[in-house]
Amino acid sequence: MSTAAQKPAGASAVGRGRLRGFVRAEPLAALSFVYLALIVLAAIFAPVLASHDPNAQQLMLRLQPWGGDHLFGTDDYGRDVFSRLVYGTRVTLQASAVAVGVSVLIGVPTGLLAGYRKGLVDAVLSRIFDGLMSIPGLILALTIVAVLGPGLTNAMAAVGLIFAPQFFRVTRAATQEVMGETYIESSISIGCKPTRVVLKHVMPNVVPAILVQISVALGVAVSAEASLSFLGLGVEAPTASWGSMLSTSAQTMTIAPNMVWLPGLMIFSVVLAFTLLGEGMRRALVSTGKNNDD
Amino acid sequence: MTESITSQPPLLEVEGLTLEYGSGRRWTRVVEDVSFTLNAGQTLALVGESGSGKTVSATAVLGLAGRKGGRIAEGSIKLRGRELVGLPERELRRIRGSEVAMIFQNPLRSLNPAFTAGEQVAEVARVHLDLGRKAAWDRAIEMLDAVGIPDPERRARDYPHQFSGGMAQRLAIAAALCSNPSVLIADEPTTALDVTVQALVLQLLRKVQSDTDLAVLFISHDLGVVADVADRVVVMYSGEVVEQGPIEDLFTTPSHPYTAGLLGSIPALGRGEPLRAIPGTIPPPGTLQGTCRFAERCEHKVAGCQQAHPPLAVTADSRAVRCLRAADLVLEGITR
Repeated sequence: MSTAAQKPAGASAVGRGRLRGFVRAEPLAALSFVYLALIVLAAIFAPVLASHDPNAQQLMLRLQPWGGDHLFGTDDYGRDVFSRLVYGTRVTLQASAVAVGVSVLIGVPTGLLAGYRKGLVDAVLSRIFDGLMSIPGLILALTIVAVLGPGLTNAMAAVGLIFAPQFFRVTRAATQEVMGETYIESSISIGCKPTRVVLKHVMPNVVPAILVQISVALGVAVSAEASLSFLGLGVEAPTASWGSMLSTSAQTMTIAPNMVWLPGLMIFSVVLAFTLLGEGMRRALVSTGKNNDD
Repeated sequence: MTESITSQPPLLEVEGLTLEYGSGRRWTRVVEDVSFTLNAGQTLALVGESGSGKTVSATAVLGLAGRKGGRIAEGSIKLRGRELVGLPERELRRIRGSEVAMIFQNPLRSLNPAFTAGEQVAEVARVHLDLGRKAAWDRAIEMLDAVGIPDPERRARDYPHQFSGGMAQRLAIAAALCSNPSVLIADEPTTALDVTVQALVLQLLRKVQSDTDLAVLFISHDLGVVADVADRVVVMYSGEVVEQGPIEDLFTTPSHPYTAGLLGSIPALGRGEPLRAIPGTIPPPGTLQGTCRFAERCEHKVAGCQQAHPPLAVTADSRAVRCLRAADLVLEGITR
């Protein structure tokens, strides 16, 4: 708190220093981020990576072991497991993005509104989302699929609706906290309109909390996709997703056990990575919050 | 009470301001019948302990009483003769920041951590001066330079956490003055700063004031600081004005025991006496009716003090005091 404490540091240098600090403080989260980035790249470049057409059946070459022409063998229709895993990444990530996108679109604006306006608006919105939380997710997904017709997008939109209350709560709590800050009072006292206060002054300070929630929710969405596809509510045959691969391989588990744990490992590792990343970001946020308090 | 000789209305005139806080059917009077005037180039200090209602009175001038569950029950606030009480929010927004600006106690907290220094100042220019992105940025750098932030071009790209307390308060002042307001509300602007930095910030405020004829409503509990900056002082206690007057008179011959108590608790170098604190605490707002609110803590109280609520009586030229015994009490002041 003295004038001598000014550091001659440019903004970009600070940005780099912060990244290094994050990697040092949260190595697991940083590693998870790298892993997830590779997974996303694999999804994008699936056609390049895949060695075979993921849906091409070779009934003469069913349930092949690992190695040879088929890196991870073939499934019960003789389809290349490695290629299906790679293409399945695409489907799984897309499905998770749909779910999280829907919940962000529903939860964040309402959370901002409730946190900013308080009073009746807050009470009504909070009760609606409380009500939504009491609906079992799988039942709602089943209902929506029954009404809108089968398909992974519909099912995942339903999952997104189930996630929405979490985003609402996180956004609302963060907004309320930020609203109590002097800089918001300051922005009001310089004559900003409410919309400008919320979008320009509150929003940037709420985004970090939402990012943490997005990371965690993506993890849950991946396992939700797996559950739905396992139950046959997700992708339709022959499209591959990690969940559907797990489902089909479960039927031949006694003959080809190695096919169960490949999609299982993918689901497990990606969910874990998203969760670790989210947790790491959350801890990093809390500690910078502490630093700002001095 | 006005010191202006011209027939022009004073810049800021607060009359009988009464504020209530609460919700639903229960409203508590937090500030009662506060009046003061402020002219261009003047500094008026609102002085009192925490909870005396000085900050809420000042924020009411910005029309912000409603934001924390309060309302203006009575009174008027006039800016250049124009009534602000009852103005629609849209009109009040036009006044906030452009005509009446505010700086806060903790400068680092009053700056948005998500924006650079330049952006904070440019924001005001964009809201009120209707400038484009580039012009607002140039204006911001100009302002940073004006408040004495070294190397403004580079510092404008720094974030608030890279600023020290004193520099951050300079930044807040730059943002507040960006659109040339006529009134600046300074809510304990130096309380959170180191003493050495305090003096520099006060110096800056004085310089700005003499340059631009700015009127400052200075809120503080520190009479030492007030002595440095103010022309007139309004002493508040438990939501009401207990004494007001020009700074010299009020410091040398206080008329209210509370003022004398505050003066006695200023630490002075070389006086060699122990500090005198005022015993007791400030009563919660709205609890005392029909009695002098300071009576319980007053060492000069007589039987009559707790039987009637004394009115604010004009004593000498431009002075007023709310004390039953004002005429016969001789209280110790401070000579500079």
